[in-house]
Amino acid sequence: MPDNKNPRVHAEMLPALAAVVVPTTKILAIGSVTAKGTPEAIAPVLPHEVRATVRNHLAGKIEQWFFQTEGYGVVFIVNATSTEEAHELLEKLPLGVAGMMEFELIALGPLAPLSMLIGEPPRS
Amino acid sequence: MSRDLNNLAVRAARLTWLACFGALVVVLAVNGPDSSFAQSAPPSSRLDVPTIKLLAIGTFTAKGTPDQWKPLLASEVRDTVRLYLAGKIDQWYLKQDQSGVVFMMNVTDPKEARELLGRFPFGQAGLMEFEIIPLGPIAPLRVLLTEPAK
Repeated sequence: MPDNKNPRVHAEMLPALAAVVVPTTKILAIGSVTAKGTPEAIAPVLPHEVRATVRNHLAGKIEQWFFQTEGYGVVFIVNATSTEEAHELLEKLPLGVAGMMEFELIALGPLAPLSMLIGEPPRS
Repeated sequence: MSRDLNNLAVRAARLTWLACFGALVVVLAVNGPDSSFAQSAPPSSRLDVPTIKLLAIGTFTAKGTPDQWKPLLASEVRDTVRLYLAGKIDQWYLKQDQSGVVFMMNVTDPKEARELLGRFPFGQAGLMEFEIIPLGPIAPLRVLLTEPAK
C-alpha cells in the first residue's frame, strides 16, 4: 500500500498491537428459528416476544435490533460484557423459553488494530 | 378486555407471519434461492422490511495464519479506516476470540459489500472471508401497532 513505504513501520507497530488488550464491550447475537419454530407455533408467542424485546431495549440491554431480511431471524447488539451475560438475558425471551429460537453469541470489542495508527505523529 | 386485545394481537401476528411466509415461498419459487431476492420482493406483507444495513462477519481462512496476515495488517487497517471515512462501514468490532472482525455496513447490496471488502489486502490474499447477513428494521415491532383498546 502506498501509505506503507517504510517496511519498518509495521515491524515497530506489531509489538504495540500485541500489547493492546481490548475489553469485551458488546455481544453480537444472531437469532435463528429452530425446527420447532414453525410459523404456526411462533405466531401466538410473537406478541410476547416483541414486548419482552422492547423491555430489554428500554432497560438498555438490547442496544440495536434488526430483522434478517433473508430468512426469518433477528440480529441484536447487546450491551453485555460476556456471552454468558447475554445468554442469560436472551434465553429468557419467550421464543427462547419455548425452544423456538436459538442465538449464536459473538463477543466483540473495540477494533484493536487501530492501535497501529496511533504511534508518534509524523514530524513536520 | 386485555384478553380480547391479546387475542387480536395473536391473530394479527399469525396473519402477518403467514403472509410473510407465503410471500417468501412465492418469491423463492419465482427467483430461486438467489441471495438478492429480499430486495426484489414486492412489499407484500407486513413483516416485509427493506434491507438497510449489512452485517459482515470476517473470519480468517485456513490460509490466514498470523505469519501470513501480520505483514498485511497495517494496510488492512488503513483500508478499513478509508472505507469508514467513505461512509460504508458504520460500526467496526474485533471478535474477542481473535478469529476476525465484525462490521455493520451502510450498504444494502451484498455484492457491493463483497466487492468492497474483497479489495482489502486480507481478501486479496485469501486470508479472510466474510459472511454477509442483510438486515432491516425489526419487523415484528409492527405487532405493537394494533389499535389500543377503547
